[in-house]
Amino acid sequence: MSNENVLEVRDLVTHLFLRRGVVKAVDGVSFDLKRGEVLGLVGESGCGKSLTALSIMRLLPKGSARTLRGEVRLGGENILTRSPREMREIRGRRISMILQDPQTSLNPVFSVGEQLREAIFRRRRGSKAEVMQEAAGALRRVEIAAPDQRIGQFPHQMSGGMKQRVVGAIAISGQPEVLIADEPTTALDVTIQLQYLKLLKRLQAETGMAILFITHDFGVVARMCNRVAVMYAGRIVECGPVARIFEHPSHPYTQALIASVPRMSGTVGGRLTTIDGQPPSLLNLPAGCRFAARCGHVQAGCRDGYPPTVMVGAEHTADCWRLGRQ
Amino acid sequence: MIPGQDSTEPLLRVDNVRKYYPFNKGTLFARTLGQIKAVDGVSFSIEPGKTLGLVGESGCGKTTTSRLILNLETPTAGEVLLEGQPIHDLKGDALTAFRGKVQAVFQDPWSSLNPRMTVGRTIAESLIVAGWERPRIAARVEELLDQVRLEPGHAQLYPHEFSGGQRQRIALAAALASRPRLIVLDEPISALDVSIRAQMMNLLKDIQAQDDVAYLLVAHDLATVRHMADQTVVMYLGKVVEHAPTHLLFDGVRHPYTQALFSAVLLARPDQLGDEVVLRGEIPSPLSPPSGCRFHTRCPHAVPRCSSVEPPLREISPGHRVACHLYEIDNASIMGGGRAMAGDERVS
Repeated sequence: MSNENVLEVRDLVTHLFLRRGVVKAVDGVSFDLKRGEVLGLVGESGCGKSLTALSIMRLLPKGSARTLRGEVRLGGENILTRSPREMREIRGRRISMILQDPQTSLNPVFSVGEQLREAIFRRRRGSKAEVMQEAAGALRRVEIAAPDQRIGQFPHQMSGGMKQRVVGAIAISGQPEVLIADEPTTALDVTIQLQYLKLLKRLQAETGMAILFITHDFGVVARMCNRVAVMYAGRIVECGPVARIFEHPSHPYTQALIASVPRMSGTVGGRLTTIDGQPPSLLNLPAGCRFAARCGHVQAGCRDGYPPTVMVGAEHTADCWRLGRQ
Repeated sequence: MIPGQDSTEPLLRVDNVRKYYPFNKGTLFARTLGQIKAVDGVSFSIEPGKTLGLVGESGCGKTTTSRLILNLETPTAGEVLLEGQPIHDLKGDALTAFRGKVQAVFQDPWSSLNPRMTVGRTIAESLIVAGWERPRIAARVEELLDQVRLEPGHAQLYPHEFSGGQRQRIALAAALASRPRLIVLDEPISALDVSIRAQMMNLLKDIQAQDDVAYLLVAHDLATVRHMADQTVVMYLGKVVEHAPTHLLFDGVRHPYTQALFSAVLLARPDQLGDEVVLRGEIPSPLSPPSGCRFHTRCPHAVPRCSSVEPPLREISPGHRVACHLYEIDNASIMGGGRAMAGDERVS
């Protein structure tokens, strides 16, 4: 891992324009992804983590969602200003994505080999036999047994874990610098989930690509990531190295989130720490700190304005008024 | 828990239950090609006011087991007894009474509530069936809403006006209405957001303490089971592979499959990551489960014997049962070996 940033996101604002009003799904998100690292983006459903990913890929749902502001710098250049045609060249070759449900990311009427061939073909031309051989090699890389037989099969003939491997093979076939994995293991069984995470780690070590790993599960973060960014109501509220965030979470939301998960060791029983209430509606965000209504440490000034980003340690930041005052 | 003694009869006893589904090909001249052994000889019992956790991956039979207990499926063989009575023979009023005693909360709070019924009506449903009078129903609904930490005014609202966590509490209130003795909780928190899960788990524990209701907790998340359950049963491809009091199980997992599950549970802290047991391969199809021990195709410790002889579920320490050849009592295998040798001598 070097200190060079392969992806820099600056003050990204993506809103959804619905009949009911404007949903401020991504409302000023900034982070860096270093070459060869795994950055976790953690948050609950509806906090804007998937829309952040789609904004980076420029694959937002047509009509309703629009990126209003901000920069997404891939290797130093802002890809938000690129034409759709240039974006198609960037997607798959420089930045790829794996989605949660392998069922919907594969085309049911094409064989796995044809879908891989399409991805390989974008990168280099070659005879059918050559490309098919490369496709079989790609399947072997994602640890699919008997790839020569599997290549002619259709998605419905494969298990969920295997389909997600095929999706992974397609995603990395263009040798991207950045892979965005949006909850790639949520739909898989637990033992299969572990296999998949191991596979992603191995592929990352082999290729040196950087991964933006989106999840709601702190356990996955502990296993996969070097750094983690915690997202709440459209903003990143805390960001830092994984070990540090687990030991010294600074933002009250991160603290409560980590404390509310039952443990696999230590004493059993007793009550779990809970976070009362609900996340705020993104249609109607409160002034000031968005966590104030649920925060145990809320003080007088917390609702005055959005809190400052405070350096609380090496590479460790948190958006909190209380930390700013100390 | 001595079998045959009525005074210690558990609340629920599942006795060697099997459920096979025929696998057909064709519609008009259908042939039965085989049977899917969804549940294949499962036994356990639940004590009043206690929680039993049922753990396993997709296709292991945990949902079929819970449907058998809810009397939504009839077993191919074996019995399920509630308070000593076989439930699958019940008819008429006795069946209605059974439905009141055993209730369920399902995983998805978005699909388990009727969108066209008010919350109050949904909760009152089972009381109306039981023939309660209106004023009593209204009072009970209010009491139930309070029990699941909702406001009395919420009775007039419709499900779409609530969040996922609130809906799951409404489903729980509806399940509690008839004062059940047992509630089947099928993945009750996995559809909820992380920050809401702890609320639901605390609420379930509080209600159990108040009402002395027993839970069958079907889950894949071991940390949840550890937090909630008194007993834990681990299933793999229709069979119980390990069964123990939760604290014993979590102190020393014995079955290689449970060990792999443990290692797959993504521990909440990076410093707690221990040795990892990564299983090879996929979960086999229940249509043609592997011979012998069903886990042997993925087991890191498999020996030739595992593919031919099915290991029985046996007690290896008080209360801790494991189905694995690795834990056969040593002297039994020595005795077996001794007998074989004696036979050899006679032949020679």
